[in-house]
Amino acid sequence: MDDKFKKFIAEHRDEFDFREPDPGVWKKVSADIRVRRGISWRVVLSRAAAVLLIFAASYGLNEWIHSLNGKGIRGERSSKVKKENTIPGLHEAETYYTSLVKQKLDELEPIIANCPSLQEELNFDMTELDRVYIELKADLKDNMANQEVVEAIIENYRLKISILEDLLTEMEFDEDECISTEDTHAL
Amino acid sequence: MTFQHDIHREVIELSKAGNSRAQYQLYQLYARAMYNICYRMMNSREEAEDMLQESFSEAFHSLGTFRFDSAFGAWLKRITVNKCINALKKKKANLVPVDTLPELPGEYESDAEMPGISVTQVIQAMEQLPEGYRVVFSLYLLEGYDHAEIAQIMGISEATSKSQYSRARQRMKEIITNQQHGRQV
Repeated sequence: MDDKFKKFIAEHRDEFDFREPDPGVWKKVSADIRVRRGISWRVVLSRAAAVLLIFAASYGLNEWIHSLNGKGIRGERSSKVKKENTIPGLHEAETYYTSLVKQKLDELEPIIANCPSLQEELNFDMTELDRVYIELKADLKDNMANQEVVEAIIENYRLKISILEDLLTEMEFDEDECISTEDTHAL
Repeated sequence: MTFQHDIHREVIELSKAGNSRAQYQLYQLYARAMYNICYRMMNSREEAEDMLQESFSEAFHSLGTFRFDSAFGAWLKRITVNKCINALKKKKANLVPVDTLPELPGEYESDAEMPGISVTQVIQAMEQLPEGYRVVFSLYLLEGYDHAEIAQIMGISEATSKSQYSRARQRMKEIITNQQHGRQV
């Protein structure tokens, strides 16, 4: 059947998409994504805690086996503490990552100065990662599964940097406007 | 469609992985098209922007379930259209003004007598259509859905969709003719 409306619109289809959305729409969408990512950070942290638990369990098992053999590892600790400082590349890697984390934090600080909810969220995540770091360092002193502990320490730094970089990217897109997570829940 | 879908595959995969830049890029690629769909459905800038935001939020939330079985644009468009239909239903918009609909055949009468029209005239006329007519007209002619799909999206029968479209076209012609007479006077 002759449907000239259909033909006319098909011929001029692109001309009908002439309206532009307000840039503020993206800010709301990105804030919504950020809220969900906040939840995913918690998942990552809980996984880190699970890894830590495995280290602790294996440490306990090792301790128990050594005690059965009549030679606990505590007696060897002083020499092993020294060994921590000689793990190849660890000191350099820590220096590098510490300075990188500081640089990202310095970069982010003025950008989120007016976003108390984001600051709070970031502080929570950083504190959790610091807590995991301290426990990993304690494991390292006990000389438990050194290579795995070193890798976990490096992963801990990378996670911090990844969180900071993600936040920097999002704030770059959001320019200087802060949308609190509380507001986004209401959207 | 498949070609375009392949081009955007990398940015979709990165978005799935939570890459902020890719998500922004994906938004930039589709925001304008989706916003225009929302505007045509809602007939209001403010409501269209609300729908756009809700559609993209849901799309990013559900992106993990997107398996490239269809084009990303079609997947996103369906989310957007559903959001708008649900919002219109919540507003209790008169999507199917049954009492004003006499029985019409599914076929369309000839447009041989239809006067010369412009895009601007069609856009202005669409804005004056009753909601039910505007939505069916827009879904059929601009978004490319067939009547079976429109029936499924709107929860109406295929015959109602055809009838609504036929009435919408008739009303469009009347509005455009009036516009042209108005100008000539």
